[in-house]
Amino acid sequence: MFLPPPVRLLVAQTVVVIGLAAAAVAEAQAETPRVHALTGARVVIGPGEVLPRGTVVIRDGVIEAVGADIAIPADARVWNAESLVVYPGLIDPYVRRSKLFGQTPPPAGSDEDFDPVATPATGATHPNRRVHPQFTLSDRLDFRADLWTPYHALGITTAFVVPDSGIFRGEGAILNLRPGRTSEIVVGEAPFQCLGYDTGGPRDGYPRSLMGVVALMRQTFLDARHDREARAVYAAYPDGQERPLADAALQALEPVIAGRAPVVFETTDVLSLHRSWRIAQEFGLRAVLRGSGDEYKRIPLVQSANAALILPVAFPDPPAMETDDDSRDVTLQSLRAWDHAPSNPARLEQAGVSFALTTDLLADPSLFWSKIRVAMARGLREETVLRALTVEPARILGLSDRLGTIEAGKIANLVVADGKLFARDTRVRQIWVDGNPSTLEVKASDDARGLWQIERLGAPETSDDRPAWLWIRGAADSLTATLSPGAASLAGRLIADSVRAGHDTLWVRWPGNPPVKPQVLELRAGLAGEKQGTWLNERGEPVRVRAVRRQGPPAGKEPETLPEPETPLAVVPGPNATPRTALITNATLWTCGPQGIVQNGDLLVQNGKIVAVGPGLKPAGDVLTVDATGLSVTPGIMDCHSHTAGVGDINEGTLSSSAMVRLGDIVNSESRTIYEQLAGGVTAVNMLHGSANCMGGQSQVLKLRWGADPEAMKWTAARPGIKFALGENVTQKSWGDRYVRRYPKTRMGVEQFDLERFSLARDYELERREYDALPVVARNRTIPPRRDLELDCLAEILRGERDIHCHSYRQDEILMLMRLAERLGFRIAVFQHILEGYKVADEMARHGVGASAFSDWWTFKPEVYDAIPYAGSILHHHGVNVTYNSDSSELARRLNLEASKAVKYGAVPEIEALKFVTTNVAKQLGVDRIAGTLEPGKDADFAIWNGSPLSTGSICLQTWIDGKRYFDRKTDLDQRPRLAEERRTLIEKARRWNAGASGDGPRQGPPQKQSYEIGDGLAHCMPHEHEEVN
Amino acid sequence: MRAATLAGAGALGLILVSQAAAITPIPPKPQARPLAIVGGTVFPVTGPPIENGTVVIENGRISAVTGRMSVPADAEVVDAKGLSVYPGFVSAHTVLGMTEVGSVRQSNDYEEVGALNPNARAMVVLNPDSELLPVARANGVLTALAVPRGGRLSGLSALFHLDGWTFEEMTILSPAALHLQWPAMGVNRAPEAKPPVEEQLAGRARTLAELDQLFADARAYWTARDAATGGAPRVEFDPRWDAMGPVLAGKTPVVVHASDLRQIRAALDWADRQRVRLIIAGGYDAPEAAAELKAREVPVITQGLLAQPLRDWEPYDHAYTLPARLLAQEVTFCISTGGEAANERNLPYHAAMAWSYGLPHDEAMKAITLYPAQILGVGDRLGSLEVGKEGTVCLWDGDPLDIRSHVTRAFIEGREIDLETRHTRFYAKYKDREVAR
Repeated sequence: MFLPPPVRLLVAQTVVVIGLAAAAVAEAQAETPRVHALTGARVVIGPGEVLPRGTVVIRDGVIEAVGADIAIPADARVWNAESLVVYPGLIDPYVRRSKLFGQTPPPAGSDEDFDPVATPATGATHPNRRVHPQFTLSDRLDFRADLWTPYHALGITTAFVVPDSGIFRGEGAILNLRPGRTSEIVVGEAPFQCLGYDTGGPRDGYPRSLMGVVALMRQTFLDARHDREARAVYAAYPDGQERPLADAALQALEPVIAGRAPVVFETTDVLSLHRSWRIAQEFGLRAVLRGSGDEYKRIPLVQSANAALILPVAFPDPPAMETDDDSRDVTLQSLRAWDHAPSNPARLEQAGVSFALTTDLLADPSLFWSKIRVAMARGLREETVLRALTVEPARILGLSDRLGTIEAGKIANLVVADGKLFARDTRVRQIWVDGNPSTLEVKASDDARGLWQIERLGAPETSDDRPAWLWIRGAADSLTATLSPGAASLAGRLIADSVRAGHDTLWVRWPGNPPVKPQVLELRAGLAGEKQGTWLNERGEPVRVRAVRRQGPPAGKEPETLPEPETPLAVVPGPNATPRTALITNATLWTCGPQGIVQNGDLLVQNGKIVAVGPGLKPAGDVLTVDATGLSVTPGIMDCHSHTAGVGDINEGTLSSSAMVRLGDIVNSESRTIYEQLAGGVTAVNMLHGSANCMGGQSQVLKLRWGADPEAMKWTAARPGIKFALGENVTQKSWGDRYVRRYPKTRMGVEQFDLERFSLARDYELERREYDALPVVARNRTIPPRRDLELDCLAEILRGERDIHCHSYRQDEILMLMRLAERLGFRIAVFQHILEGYKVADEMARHGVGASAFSDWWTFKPEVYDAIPYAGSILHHHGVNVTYNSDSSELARRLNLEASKAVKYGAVPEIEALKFVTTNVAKQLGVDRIAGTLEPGKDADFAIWNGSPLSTGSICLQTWIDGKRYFDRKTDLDQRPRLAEERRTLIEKARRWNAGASGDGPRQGPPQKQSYEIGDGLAHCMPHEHEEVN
Repeated sequence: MRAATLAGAGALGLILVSQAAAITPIPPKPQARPLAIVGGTVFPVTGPPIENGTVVIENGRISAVTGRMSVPADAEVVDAKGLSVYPGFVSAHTVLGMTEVGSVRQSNDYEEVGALNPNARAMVVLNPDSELLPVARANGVLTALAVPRGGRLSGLSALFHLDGWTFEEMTILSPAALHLQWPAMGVNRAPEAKPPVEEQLAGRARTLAELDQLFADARAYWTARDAATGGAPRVEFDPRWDAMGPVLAGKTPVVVHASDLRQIRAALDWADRQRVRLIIAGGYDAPEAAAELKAREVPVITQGLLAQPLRDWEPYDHAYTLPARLLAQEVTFCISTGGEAANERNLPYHAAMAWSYGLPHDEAMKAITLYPAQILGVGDRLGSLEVGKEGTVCLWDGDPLDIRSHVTRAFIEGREIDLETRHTRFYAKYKDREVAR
């Protein structure tokens, strides 16, 4: 009988065919000797190291020996693994608990079923219900064996299992995937603390924004540090001081703070990866980063994060588009993401980044290999894949001495496959975990198509029966079957009249023609593996047969069709000219400096700075010259009130003071609004927190260096700022009837709230100073004051180191805050909106506060009913430094025209009006010494207009920052056809893929939910429930 | 708690409205004497500018537009030397007169409950004492369409002068149009879409069928009603169907609010079937349906020009160039703010943005004067300076599309209106305030 080698394994004298049924290993284990020898196999010892034919000896769960020519111990069971390949067991370093244990009720301290508004967690733990680092997964395992089968089928023998929810989620557990008591299957002791960015739902309280999550993480690490110190001091000197908290959460973080236990960040995008790395650096953490798949967008950020990286391969499906109409709803961004994502691992490999791979984020883990094949088709090397699933995760998990290779002394975790791992036709036949074999049923497939070899069962080896060949072809829902002649006892070439294929059955009928009877073939068991059944032959006699598929379904069902090379981006973000020296000639220069408006002037720029302004400049050397005859040049427009380019909410808003949150933590360098604003001449924006609470968050001034990463966009020279707010928003007056419980609810309360927080900050500052002033001996015996990020920020304000930009409308609240600040000894820097500021212009001028206003918005709510467009003029004439801002990514694009409203309403001179959106903003942001005018020595941030910047007929032609040209209308117009072509190409490509992968092709399905999206600036402008921005 | 909150807000609303009532400008008396605006540059809009021209208004109507000095003997002479004379702007889509303070529900009267309100009339809520009206007209917006919104059939709009003691005196045309919010036509094809694709398609088909049915029902009502006048049994009065009479008769147009190409195409098909006069409002994608729009002579009221592109593959100036693209494809259009009220005064700057990005200046001016008048069916009365048209005129000290220009005087049907506003009053009160030192 014909029986090909790959499906034959010998155990001593008995033929054991792997693939027929899973062996019941676990129960037998106790009595069975655990000494095994796998012989005759190709042994892949580790990445790049192969024994073409070798033996692996296993004793009591450990690899005893491996080699080409080693003695087989006398007590070993011998497994003939001829023609098979043995690999180290694969390690998935990030499997979420729910994948292996099913959905179980969340642990105490998790984030469900509670009212977050005011209810802290109970128990001696952290009051925030999303902070439960003390949770240890291995204490709570309730293993469901059926859930690990898909992982076994992939060759995965070890998984780092992580808790699913929360911010400080707790410790994960490294498990060998086999039955057994938890104590038996846990591998390794290193407690890995798992962190994620869960912002919670509308009822979950602080933090609701990404900024808030970052602030909470930082505060918690500070608290853990403090807790360690406090307990140490108290243990030695309990006398006379208050005892530290008994906080299980903070105590659980002690090994993390001490650098003994690594933390694993679950990142949501490449900016999130960078953010996580910065947190890790700040606190000296040993970080592991679970990437998200879009690392290719900013590989330098990944390279700079010197942390272990775990990469998912959940490449997105192409957007579904049946009709041309549908494609209108598909963003270019999603098409690009689909097209480029499969190249992510290869590009990181080429950039020298090492990583482990994970099944995480795949809706169905069994798609893992097919996704890896897609990545390999895009250039990821096979050896790298093997490394990423063995040696690298073992290293990350600190288990290199125990796992990752087939070497004597290591844990006997092995994969036995019938070919090269990850190849399309290779199946895992056997898994060894802790030296225990478990034989796999080859995964069933619903697709019966291909070439089947049919042979009679039980025929003697000497029989001259030859196999018959059965072709199943056609579309999945209309199969045809053709039988080619084989054994004499089987039929001649016949075409079936009925074919039915189910999950594990195949049923074919061929028509009869009396006296020949209709023949029926009925097979059972998995279609992909061997199966057995009955043949009803032409004489109506049942014959027992076996069927083996020799050729799979036609190509095109797997995404192997996808890896066409990726479509190049039509436009890569970044400056389109970066000359060392540039000369803008013969322009009308609105210098906004002492030179006023210079007609027919030249502007000379060198190394990012303006070096000369005036007529007839003649620089030497290599100069980019822009002939600006008939054009106007102004300083770059600056927007003093922007919510552009943030990731997630720009309002924390859950607390009346969220002074600890920082806009700088959520800069979205990928947002397209950055480019749109450049096209309106904008070079810098003051990114502000929203106005949902009295004390918002710390602002971030950005230069719009399109293409740069978040850090490189930050304008570090600007004064630190914070957003405050007053009036209707912070008192939740129009948030609906549920929002009546938060203090303050009136403007009276706002004053007292602010007073109280500042008083706390002052005491906090004093306490810190007193502690610092203690003699060394006394200081060593005293528990140090706890650092508080909110009070740190307020103390900076009190010290005059951080500027308040306060959202304000009514004159009463404006006066109140100025007087409060005076009483506390500082000045308010800028009132934002300040619509009734004109009523107290003199008071404002005396206080020395700036005004940053809407030019003409009014009556959108009661507190702005008295707003007038003359306000800017009145304030200006009273000596207040006035700016006009946008508060809107749309309005930001035409702030020059907002400035001209100051000319219209109240006759502000034109050059002064232009300063409302340039020079005066620089003053309000504290960068007026280095920017905001066209003067030698200043940053070369400017815009070129085709007419007066204050005329509606003019448009912005070019925008320069630091002497680099970031927007050029001509370049933009030239690029449009290429962008259109890129989109057209991607749509066609996606359609081809969609067509090929229809039916039962491996679509990935809805991706794992991500909390944030970057890259789509438009989405961030959409109003949110209670998102108060104006 | 709820009651207290509402009561508080209600009181606030009342205070605001009563404050307003006390201080808006007094409407002028009807024009008694002829008025001659002389010495300015006259921009008739329909023709080339006339230097040193004269516009004569008698009994509210223009009786002469000329380059000669021809002043009737008893005329009041308005010296427009150094000024430009333009027709007042016609705002084709606002909620002016229907709202006072955006976030105060008590002051908002533009959105009725339910999907079908073909009988809701904007005219009857126009508040002559709204502080928003003087603000708009002080920048040249002298005529506006008050448009109900919400639901499917939102109601009947009213074209009105921003001057008068009552809504009856203010209204020029009511109903001006029936407003229909076209359903969203996009389909989420993702396999995980909820509801599933089939349900979405069925839902969309059902909504479209309902629209047809709605008009069929109204038509049946009117057939029966007309028959009743000829002796058939009496028909019970139905205010909804009754209000649709002029629409079915083709006298009153249907403004379909639609921006997406699929909506626009579907609306065109529907209007063909229903034989109604169609106007598209929004029209973001209208240039892609230009051939169909042009063939059927369906005009577009653009809105939202001051907007970021809707889709990430569109150029940054895509919204700005909409009017220029419509003009290039010979689609009739006008420019609106798209339902503003507080800042309806900025209508000319919407047109200006279109000018900056490719629309010729004279077309930009027409797009907020003559074209909206024509599209709304009052082209014989408003929108240009021509003999026989209303004397609804503004004097400007510069180009009206330039923000730095001002209206110096304004006339509605020959009556000179007061340009004082809530804003000028506060300006006057506070501009020189100083704290005693």
